[in-house]
Amino acid sequence: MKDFFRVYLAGIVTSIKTGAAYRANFILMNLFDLLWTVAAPLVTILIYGAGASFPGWTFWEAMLMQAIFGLSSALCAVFTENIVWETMNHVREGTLETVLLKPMPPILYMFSTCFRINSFGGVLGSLVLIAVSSVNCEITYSNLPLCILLFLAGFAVNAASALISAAASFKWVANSRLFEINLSFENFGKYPVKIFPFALRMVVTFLLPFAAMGCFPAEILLGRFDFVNLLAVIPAVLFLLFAVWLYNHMIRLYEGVGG
Amino acid sequence: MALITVENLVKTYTTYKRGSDFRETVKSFFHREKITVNAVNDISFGIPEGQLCGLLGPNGAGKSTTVKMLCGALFPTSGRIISAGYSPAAERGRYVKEIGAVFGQKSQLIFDIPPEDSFNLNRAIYDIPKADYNERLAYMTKLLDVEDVIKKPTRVLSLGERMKCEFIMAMLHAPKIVFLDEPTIGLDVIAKASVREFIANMNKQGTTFILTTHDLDDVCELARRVIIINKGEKVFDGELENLRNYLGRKKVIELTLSERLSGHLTEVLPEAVRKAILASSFPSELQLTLEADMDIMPINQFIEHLAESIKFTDISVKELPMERIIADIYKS
Repeated sequence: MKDFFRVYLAGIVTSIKTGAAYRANFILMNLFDLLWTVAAPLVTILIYGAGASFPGWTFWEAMLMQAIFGLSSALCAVFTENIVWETMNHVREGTLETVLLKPMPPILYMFSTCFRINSFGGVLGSLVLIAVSSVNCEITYSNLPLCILLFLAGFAVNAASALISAAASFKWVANSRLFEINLSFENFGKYPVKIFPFALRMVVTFLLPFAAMGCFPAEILLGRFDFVNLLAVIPAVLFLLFAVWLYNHMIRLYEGVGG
Repeated sequence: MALITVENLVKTYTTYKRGSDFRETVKSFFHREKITVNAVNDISFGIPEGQLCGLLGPNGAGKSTTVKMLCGALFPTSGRIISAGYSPAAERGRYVKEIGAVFGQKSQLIFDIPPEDSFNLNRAIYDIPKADYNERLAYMTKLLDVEDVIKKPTRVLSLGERMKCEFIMAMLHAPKIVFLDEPTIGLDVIAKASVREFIANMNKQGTTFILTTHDLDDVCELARRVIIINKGEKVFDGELENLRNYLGRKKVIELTLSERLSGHLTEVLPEAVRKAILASSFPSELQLTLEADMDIMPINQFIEHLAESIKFTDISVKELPMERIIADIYKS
């Protein structure tokens, strides 16, 4: 594990150097990410501006939920999402050998080199939104550890989703749509689960707990959490373990391209 | 004892076949014809420590697949590989610390940043002590004359400069075995010479090299031993010198004629000589090139008969070019 952190740190430093190689792109990407994240709750603003609302959620509470979701998505964009595109390119171009030559598990090497500093603007934007929303809500700070636990569960689900999409590319070469479908599905996490039909609520809570990306951490911070939903941590961990197993299994199927 | 032992290695994979017309394209959405390809078929060999072995074969012969299995990147379908004491695919994590690889067409350098930054990442991955890293980097950059090059972004480097940096990337952790897959592809003569000198130098220091290439000059200059693979099967395994005799003792005889031949070659030369001639050509009116089999007629007798039958002012006797020997082996 110590080795992994050493390599991971070196990977991050290398990614920062790579990002800094094109300064204009680095600044613009982060700026757009920041603006995009800040503008993301526009739908919520429109809903509440039109006099409608998510039942039981004030405007700032809904903003807090979506900002937490935004932070989860942005962190995934920085830390895990790139593994999908990198794996897809390696498989399509037959260059995965360069990864398999490294003396560490390929999945860890991929994570350590897939850090994307150009997406950091989204993290910053989300943190600003969380801070602004928190000031306007009643926060139960004693629940912060549980909020972080659920947030990590949501991050794990998102990472698992990226890993599964990446793993699928070993078989379905260059199939980027699968990850886009996953990204669409995770959007269920940025709305209160109670607005969904029962079956869907069960799916996003206990099967693929995308609700842990935004809704659950916000609910627990606001002190209105149904503690049964803490069970979402278990499927989140299982989902991540399955994704790791699948990725490692699919690597065995790698056949390269003509030499 | 062999550093690399390969026994009955087999690799098959499944691919799909479809025609190129529109109908076939539509049909392929519903049904694709599966094809099983025997990329490597029952290959065995052993490579002792410190050897530089050339792995040759035509396109699609199975060389790269063999190298990928030796690197641990691909799992064999069947057979056994023990390399540096490891089973490459099964013990990949520990095994790859002992090896390095340079792929002529797959870069390990990060495109947007200088090679030195990629080297630093490798230092962290392989946990190379700082002092060793600095010493090896200084030694190799000097040997390859790229001390300044490693500080420029990889994307602005020439192919030759990039390839030299690929070698450094592959060898910073002092691997026991280095796999080279077409390392001189696309390089000019000067860069090729520099890379070959580097390989020879590192080989002298004890590094074992497996060299896959289409450039026979690489093999002739570097390898003492050659393994030839064709259609997934090993067709030759031996010293480079033996390869020249593999198809018999053949020579190329070039004559500069003093006057045009009075008739057709078959009319001019005695039958015994004609039997030994495998091919003939006239590069120009007064130039005659013969390819002859010295197992049929010894060289001294052959030249004696030629001198009696044809008037020439100059003669040269050469070995059959390596390209020709290899091509004949591929065909056979």
